[in-house]
Amino acid sequence: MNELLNVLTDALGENLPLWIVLSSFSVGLVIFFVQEGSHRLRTTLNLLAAVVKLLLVGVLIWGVYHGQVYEVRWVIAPNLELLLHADALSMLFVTLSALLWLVTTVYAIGYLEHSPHRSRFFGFFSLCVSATVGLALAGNLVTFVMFYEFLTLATYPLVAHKGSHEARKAARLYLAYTFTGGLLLLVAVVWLKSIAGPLTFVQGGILDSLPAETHSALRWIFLLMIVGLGVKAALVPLHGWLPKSMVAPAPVSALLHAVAVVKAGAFGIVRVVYDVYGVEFAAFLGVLVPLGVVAAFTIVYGSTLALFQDSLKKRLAYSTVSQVSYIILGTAILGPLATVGGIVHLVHQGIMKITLFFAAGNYAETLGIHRVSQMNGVGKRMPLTTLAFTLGALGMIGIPPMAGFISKWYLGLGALEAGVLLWVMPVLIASSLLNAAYFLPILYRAWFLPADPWPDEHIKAQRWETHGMLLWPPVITASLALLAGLLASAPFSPLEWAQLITAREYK
Amino acid sequence: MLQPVLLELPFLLLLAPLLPLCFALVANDRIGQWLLPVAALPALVAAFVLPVGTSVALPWVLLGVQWGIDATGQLWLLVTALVWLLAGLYSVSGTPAGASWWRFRVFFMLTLSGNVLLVMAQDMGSFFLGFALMGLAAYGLIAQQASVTTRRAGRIYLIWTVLGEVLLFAGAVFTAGSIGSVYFSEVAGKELPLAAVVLVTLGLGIKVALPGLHVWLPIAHGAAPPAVSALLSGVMVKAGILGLVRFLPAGAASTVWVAEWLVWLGLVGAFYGVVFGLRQTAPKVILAYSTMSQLGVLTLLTGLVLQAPADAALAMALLLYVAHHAWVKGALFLGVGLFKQTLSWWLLGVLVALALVLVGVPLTSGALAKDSVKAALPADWQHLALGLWLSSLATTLLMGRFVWSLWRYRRQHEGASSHHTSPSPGLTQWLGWAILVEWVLWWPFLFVLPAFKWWDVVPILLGLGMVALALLPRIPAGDVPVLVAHAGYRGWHWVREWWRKHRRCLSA
Amino acid sequence: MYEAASVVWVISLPLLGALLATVWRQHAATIGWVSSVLTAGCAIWLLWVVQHAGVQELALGGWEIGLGISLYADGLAAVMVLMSSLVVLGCSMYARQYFRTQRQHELFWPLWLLLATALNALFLAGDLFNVYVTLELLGISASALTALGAKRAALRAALRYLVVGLLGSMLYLMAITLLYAAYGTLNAVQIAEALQVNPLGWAALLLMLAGLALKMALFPLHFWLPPAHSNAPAPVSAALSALVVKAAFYLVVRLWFEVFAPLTTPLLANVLGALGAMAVLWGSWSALRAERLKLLAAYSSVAQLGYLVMFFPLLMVLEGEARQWLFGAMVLFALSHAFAKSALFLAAGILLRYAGHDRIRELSGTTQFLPLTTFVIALAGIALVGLPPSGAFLGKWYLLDAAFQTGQWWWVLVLVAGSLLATAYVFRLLGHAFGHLPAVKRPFVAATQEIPALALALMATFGLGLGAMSLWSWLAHTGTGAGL
Repeated sequence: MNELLNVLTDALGENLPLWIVLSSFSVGLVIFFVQEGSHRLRTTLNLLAAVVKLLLVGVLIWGVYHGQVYEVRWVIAPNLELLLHADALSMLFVTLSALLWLVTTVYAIGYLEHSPHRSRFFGFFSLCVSATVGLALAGNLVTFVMFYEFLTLATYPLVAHKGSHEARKAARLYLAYTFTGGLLLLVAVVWLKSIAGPLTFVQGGILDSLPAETHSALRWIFLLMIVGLGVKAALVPLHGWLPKSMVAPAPVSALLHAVAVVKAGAFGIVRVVYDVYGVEFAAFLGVLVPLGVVAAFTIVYGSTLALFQDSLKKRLAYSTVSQVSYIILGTAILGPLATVGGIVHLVHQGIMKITLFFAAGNYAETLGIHRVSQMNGVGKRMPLTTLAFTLGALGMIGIPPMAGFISKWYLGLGALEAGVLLWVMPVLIASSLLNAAYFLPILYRAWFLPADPWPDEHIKAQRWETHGMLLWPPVITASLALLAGLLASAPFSPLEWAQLITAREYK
Repeated sequence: MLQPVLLELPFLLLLAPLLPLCFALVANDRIGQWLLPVAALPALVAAFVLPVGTSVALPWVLLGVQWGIDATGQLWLLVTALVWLLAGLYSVSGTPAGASWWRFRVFFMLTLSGNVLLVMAQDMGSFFLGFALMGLAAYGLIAQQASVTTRRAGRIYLIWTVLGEVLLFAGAVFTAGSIGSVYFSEVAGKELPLAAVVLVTLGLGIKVALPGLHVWLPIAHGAAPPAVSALLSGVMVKAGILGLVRFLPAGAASTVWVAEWLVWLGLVGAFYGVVFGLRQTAPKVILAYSTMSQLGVLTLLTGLVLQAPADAALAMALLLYVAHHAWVKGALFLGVGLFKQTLSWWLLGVLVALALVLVGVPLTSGALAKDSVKAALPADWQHLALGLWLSSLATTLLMGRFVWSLWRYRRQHEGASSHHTSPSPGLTQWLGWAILVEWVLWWPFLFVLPAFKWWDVVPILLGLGMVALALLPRIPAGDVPVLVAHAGYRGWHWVREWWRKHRRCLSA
Repeated sequence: MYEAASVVWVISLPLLGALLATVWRQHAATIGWVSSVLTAGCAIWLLWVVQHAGVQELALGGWEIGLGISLYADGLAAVMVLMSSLVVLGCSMYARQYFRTQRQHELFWPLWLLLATALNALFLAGDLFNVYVTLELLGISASALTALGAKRAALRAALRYLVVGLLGSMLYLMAITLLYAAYGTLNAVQIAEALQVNPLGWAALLLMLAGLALKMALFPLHFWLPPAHSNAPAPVSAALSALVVKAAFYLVVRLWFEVFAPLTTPLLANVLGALGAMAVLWGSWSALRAERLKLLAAYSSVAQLGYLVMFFPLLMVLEGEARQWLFGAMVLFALSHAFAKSALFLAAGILLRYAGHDRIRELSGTTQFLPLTTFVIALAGIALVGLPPSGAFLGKWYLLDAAFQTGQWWWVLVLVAGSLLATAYVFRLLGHAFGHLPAVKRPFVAATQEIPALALALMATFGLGLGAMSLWSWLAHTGTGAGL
């Protein structure tokens, strides 16, 4: 096994990050040209790409673990180069993306079984993941920005996929938000580059040696960057696109919320704070506290609005608004424990939220349930799906042994360590209570109330409660969310990985 | 490498919380119903078999987990497991069949697992896990029947439970962060910020129904099935007491400050429960208020224990009181369930006896517990003896009200019940209850019973007298002589009737 | 002299093709695309030559410099020739299928090849009079091609185009007359050496700028462009927008930075930049409001040319390496626009053919029926907005960079606003690609036309976005002094 892996790492060489990006990109392009009717070919391609990517990521982890350095450079213009490299933080995000992409692909194949334009959908779907992986592996801000914009482009067609008036409107709104954000980010990056030179991500930051007269400019740049990234991370008041884009098909929502878009924003903020500014320098500039306050406000605001949504997906969307800001809150609190909490939530929120969206998609696709008020008694009809949903929801509230508990625990510890418990803890408490207030009634309906007639039952219960390809993805991700929390202290757990990253971020 | 580690693990420690989880997956009704009592068996065996100090560390789980049995934990586990086992036995035939049967079993198992886990937990992560699992899963037991009342009760229970869990979470984070460890063994001797202590106390205070935080308790007990009430009242609420003992460093300045409050709050709670319980009519709600009142005494004791870390007698008193209350209250609730099904007089008699045990008449566990408490009162808290004395009186009154409510219940349901209400109790119901009653009456004799002191019986007698006064029928003018005459007439009349009846029988 | 032949061939091949196509009418199409292919090959050869053998100067017919036709090929010229030849090649491939009747082919190809000749000659022209001649040739052939649209609107637009072109040329002619009167030569190098800062020089500069601004449709002299570009046949529109206006821009660059270098001032550059900024805003806004696709594309050209001019004030301030980088970025932006806009017009032509109209509101069905065409539009759109990976992205990057370095942050605002408007108009179009219609069975619908368009669009995005690094080294091959 080891020899095989060694041979593989040698064969793929330093360019491995590039292959990881291209593995889905190239397949995406091919899928565009697959005829609509060739279901089997498309499915094979999709799964092949997803599995290959996952394997490549596995080889990457193996290589990095054994001290191999992966760096791909490509000069696109004088003084401007694309750099892909694999450090601990990018590995975390890459692994998450690759893993969830595989699951989501399976789910999407089941979900879109008879709908039109599947080649278009899966093409963009693959491009979207390439963009995500690309920005995860980006080794400098220039590369990050390029993939960030590319991600916007690749997801727009997915949001608009249904083609209804509403979908197109939502897609337009999405584009307006994210593109404006992207542009501001671009401006900020160019500005920063004109001050600080090449913006390679370095653990611990690169800006702390700049002279004092640049500091006010650095603060403005930070603001611009946070606005630019905050759009995707759905920081209030930049979150307007997110609930609207719920018109997209469920796999897209899952992908947008768990892996690709909001995570790209949150990941970007983590990168900017830790690997560009350096968290200690950012704290010195005094930009972390405002960021933390915005994140805290977002957490409470998102949860509060979620309470009032009857549409299941919208409720989940507002929940995302709230949950993603945990990552940002963790980033904004100076101190290793909070960093651990923030970074680990990047993964935890991903697997929990994707579970919830898969389950929501299953309800819609199997029984035609779109609203919370239609969910009475669904637990009996779809026990596994509802169990997965339950686990995800409990995780969101922060109940052990789900993954969300671990995140909140470390955020709380971090707040204590940084001496900001006084305002962070109320936020955590309020958010947990609100989460309970909007998730527990759903669980109550699903498990305890007698069933009403289903709005529109597409798939009859046979051996399983729904189509197998719809059923297993949420079950798998829910198990992952459970394991990530239950075995949080095990080697190679997300928590341990986050601790490793954190240890390197503090000089 | 893995093999020796596996062999060294005391499997009972793992089995006790995990077996119920496995049982939760059994969907088959016929097997499933018998798993209810079986599930608590490993915990009970563990409490008997495993020596104090046994522990197992699972460093990969959660934040690093350690389960084990210490001196407090052993008795606590015994108390807990026994109530669970007998309530499980009671439930084998005591729960309505049908669609919700499996759901009941799932939640029963989850709650049991959580409860056992929190007793064995030696770290904050697994305590919180057990606490949360127990608290949330118990919702499924309380809201078992789909009626408006249970739904409301369940909702209120859940809101308070979640609130308590979140506060405890905050407190746990604060505590763990302050002492730099999640293990309870590290807590002793450390100083905690006051806010941490307050958060922990508030979080657990909901579970132990501190006055003001007690809203959920009578409502939930009123709505839950008898077995569930027995569990809730007998063992689950005690998790709060255990939590306080585990989380707070006894003797530390901030703890002492809060502990003094606990003493006074406990005292208030002890009377608060009685005052409002006396105005209730439903037997189970009265018992629930009695639980609140008894929890007040337990809180008071906990407050004392937290101030004096080294006082073994006080700790023992607390344990005895926990055991006493858990078992008696369990037996009372199960008995009420049976009584409601059968309405039989002799059951009422047993319930009266159990009520007397709770009150603490001599030669019962109540007397044992109360006496050990009094003996252990620290020097500067001696004036509490008066409070306890009054509390005995109050409890007697409340139990009088309880017996009256049973009698009233019987009168109301006498005519209707035989036709369409509850089916007659199953064998396991009787068995579970009977064992518990036997145990309640018998276990104090394992200890040296306190000497008989008139001073302790006075409040009981006083209370009984007051109850008797309250229960006396209208007294006609001319009082005693008229009553005697009346009774004489009634007696003679009765004898004559009896004679007539039997003469006919004899002649035939 | 073996290397210098490449300079001649890139001009004479299309000219030869034009003559042959006129004579040998029935094979006009074949002759047309063959000569396009050969020209493109020669253009690559030229670039290779310039890179390896240095700048090529050539006096045709042996006349000494200052009298005869002199040709001058440095890095910039070679790059422009290559760009123009590639775009012409793409359009030629497209045009083979685009025109349906023999008569159209007979009319189109000679003029088309003449246009290509004029373009290449203009890029390689070594003296100012040659430039005038090629400019006239370009204007006439372009307006004649516009008239091929044969509709009433097309004819009117062509006529206006012709008049405007002539007016621009006249202004230019007046300028060179002044120069000739003063210095007795029209050779660019010689003038640049002799030029003095005096009112006459100023007058010449302003006249030339005015004439060329008119030709490159710089705001507010852009009024003629939208009707002309939107009414011509698709390949012609593509060439007009991509190449003809670029030729005028190329001349402005040459004159500004080489011939008139002593005369240019930051103030004047800022005026130009301000006009560019207004062009960006107004052009993008008009594009956003355009009802028709081709009109949208035409207004977008106005905006994109505005960006090009915005480089000027920044180039005036920067020094050394940074200036070279920015200059390269400007050229890259021009190239990117050329490829992207030609691709967009070609795709628009396909849409127009299938839909029978190009009203944006009603294109939903057609865009879904033609996925590859829509994809081309999307790629071109990416380049127009300046999203990565496109040459325009890099161009904008350097523009921003320079703005920050020189502290002229107002250009940033213009750029942000322009990009937002560009996104809006591009995605207003692309939004129609998503609808309820059933999926198309074949991904390729009009393959022979779609593939050239796709190639051009890919060139603009991925080609120039990721592979443009060598551009800067090509541009480094300039003559010792100023050259034209």
